[in-house]
Amino acid sequence: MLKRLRLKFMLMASLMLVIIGFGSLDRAQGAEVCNGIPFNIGWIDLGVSTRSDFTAGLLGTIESFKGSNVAGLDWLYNDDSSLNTTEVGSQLISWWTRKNGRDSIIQVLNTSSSKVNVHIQILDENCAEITDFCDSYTPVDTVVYDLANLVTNVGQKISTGALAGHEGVIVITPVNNCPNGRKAIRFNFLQGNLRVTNSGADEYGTNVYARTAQGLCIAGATTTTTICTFDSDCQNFCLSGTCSVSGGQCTVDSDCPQGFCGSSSSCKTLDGTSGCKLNAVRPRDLNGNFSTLPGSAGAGADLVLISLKDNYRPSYAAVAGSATYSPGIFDDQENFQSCPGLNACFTRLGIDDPFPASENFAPATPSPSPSPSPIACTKNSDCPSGFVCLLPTPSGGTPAPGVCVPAPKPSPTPTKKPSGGGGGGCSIGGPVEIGTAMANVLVPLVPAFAIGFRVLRRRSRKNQK
Amino acid sequence: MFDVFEYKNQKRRICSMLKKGFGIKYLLAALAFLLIIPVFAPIKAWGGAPLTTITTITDTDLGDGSQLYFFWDLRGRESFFQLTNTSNKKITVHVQVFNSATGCSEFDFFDTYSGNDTHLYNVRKLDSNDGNLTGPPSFNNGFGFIVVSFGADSDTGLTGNFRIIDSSGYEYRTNAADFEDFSDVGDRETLATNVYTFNFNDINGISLSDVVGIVVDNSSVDTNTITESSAPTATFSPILVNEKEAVFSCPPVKFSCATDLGINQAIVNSKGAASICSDTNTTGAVMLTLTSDFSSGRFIVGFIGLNDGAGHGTMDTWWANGGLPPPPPPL
Repeated sequence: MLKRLRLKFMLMASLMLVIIGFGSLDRAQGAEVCNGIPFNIGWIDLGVSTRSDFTAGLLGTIESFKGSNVAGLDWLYNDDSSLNTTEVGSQLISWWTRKNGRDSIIQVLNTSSSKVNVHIQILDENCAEITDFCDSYTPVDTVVYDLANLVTNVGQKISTGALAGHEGVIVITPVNNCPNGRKAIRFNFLQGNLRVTNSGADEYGTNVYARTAQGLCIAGATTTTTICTFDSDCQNFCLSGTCSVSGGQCTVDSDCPQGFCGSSSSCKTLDGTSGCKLNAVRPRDLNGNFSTLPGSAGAGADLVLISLKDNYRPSYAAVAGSATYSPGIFDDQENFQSCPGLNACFTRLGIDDPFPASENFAPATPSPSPSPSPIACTKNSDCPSGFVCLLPTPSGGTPAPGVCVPAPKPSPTPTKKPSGGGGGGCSIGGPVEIGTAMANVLVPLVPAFAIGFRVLRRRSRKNQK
Repeated sequence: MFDVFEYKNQKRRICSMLKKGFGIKYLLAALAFLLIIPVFAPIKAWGGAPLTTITTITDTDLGDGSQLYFFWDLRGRESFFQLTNTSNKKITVHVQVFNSATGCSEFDFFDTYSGNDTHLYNVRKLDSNDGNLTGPPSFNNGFGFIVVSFGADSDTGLTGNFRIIDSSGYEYRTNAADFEDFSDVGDRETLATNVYTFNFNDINGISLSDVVGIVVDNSSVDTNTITESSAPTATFSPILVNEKEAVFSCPPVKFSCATDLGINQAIVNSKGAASICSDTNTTGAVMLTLTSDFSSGRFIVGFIGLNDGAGHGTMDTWWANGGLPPPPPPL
């Protein structure tokens, strides 16, 4: 009897450890990247290590200010590339969300005088493709995609059921044909912008990321065989030590002082080789500014990090990548705190204690929504971010609808402020929660528990015999 | 499913063309469209654009800024801008505030940043990071632009953003725009262009806009001091295209200092200024082709803000189609 009880206890303990362990090891979306740090004006700096083809991030904050919830969003600064959100490109990439009462609206413009087919992928929080569809744009065509009511440019309705309650990355790629073929092509003429709307009266908006595709410098004169070192030694280009009508890789015409930038004869579709692929975006650093305003009554944040890989064969697809981020945070007095590292293909986090993840931001003031009446609801997902659905106590008959009320603020988890680890606060590891620490120690012991459990069971069977 | 989609798509377009194919309206629209497309599309020919009608594209992504541009507005709005020195060196920056409401009048001061320093400025109650600024003038009811310079082209590591809070409860926020010289085309930090575009739609009640164009003279930006005394301007030929690819030609529009306009009669200016176009389209895009023939180069920063006047608003920079050859270096 006692042995059985002991066995049951061990089994339950093992299961609980597994559950706690997985919950803590995964840097849950909605957590803060710098938990326990009180900076309300400053800048966040993320060291980046990645072999992915595209890594970028966005930073948005929402704030209660003078009775309103105001919000703004833009891409993080990087140390690798410029003009990502001001120069038209070949592939558009953006965060999208339909979580926490939000919706996303993306408008795309084809600035070219040519028609183009595009393949649109919608990836979720795990960078798994949950919806994809084809579309085509005529010259100077513009189309608006509302991810709650998705209709293509040619009028086809796309089911959005899989998107409800999710978020992730949307990728728009020009292709040769769609749905058949779907091989990426060089088409540096797309631009677009994102609006993230929220029934809670705040709104984010920014240009989307426009990623350019490479070509080769092409002249059009006869090939010569002159040995060369520089382009200036040749009538056209110096390529691998020999004058050629085709030169090095380029993105736009001005990259080719002796010709224009085009696709080589062997590059009808992008295949991932030099001069025939999307330009890699591999920053080693990302950073962004944040602030609360004088008189602020609370704030929330969305630090969104995206890392994708290009898969060119057999059809083009943007697939899950991975990047390791080493975050640190400065305040306006140049105080620095390093924060725990993280690894993700996609994640969305708060910044620090004054800027919890946006879903944990409870507006301190009533929202200045144009509708003065309370928002009716039947479940929490009907309410804007920071609100929950308060249903009336049932008293028989047909249940009456509830109303959205501010969510109770979660009681803060006690955290130890990072000591800095010496060297001006540049600790290698940052603050670690007690649950995470326990799980890190105990989870590796789960197999030992399992083996022990098995041994004890065998013994009990032997004893019974 | 996609086969059905492709078939329906083709059928829809063929039917539509057949129905309208012989209509005089369609013919005229098609002719107008054909005339417009070459203007909208980037000019591919080498040396196709006069040297005096091209500019460099501003950058808001690479964190190497040395001269940042911010829009500000105190017409029923509050304006804040944040500046960060991401380098580890102490620097002194020149801050210039230009007020379009008072003829582009200028107020300036110098400010000091230690390494990794950041500061949030409140335009209504202007102070400095080093605490040395005294007696700034009142900018109440003004609007314009702010330039923060540390050597216009020195890759200093300045980053920043601005936040404009409207009294109706929305915010315009975007990264600051960094100056790029024609010499940066070779470094691949910018491109030369003469075409800017931006999108708009009225989803969720968007009905107001701020099309902001900031213009400075290139000859003055290579120093730490911008001068607007010559009142540099840039004139564009605008075209509006709606979501059905119908093209609307609009009269030439001139930007100077920081000019704030509306898009059209459906998305009018937030502060009652004139609109660029006179149509009533609620969804589309605007293309601005530079037509000025100025004696020296211009640096242009464009922002597009859209709002509903009731708690929702967004802002970001204009897009550009780059890749034109830069002008030859001066002799």
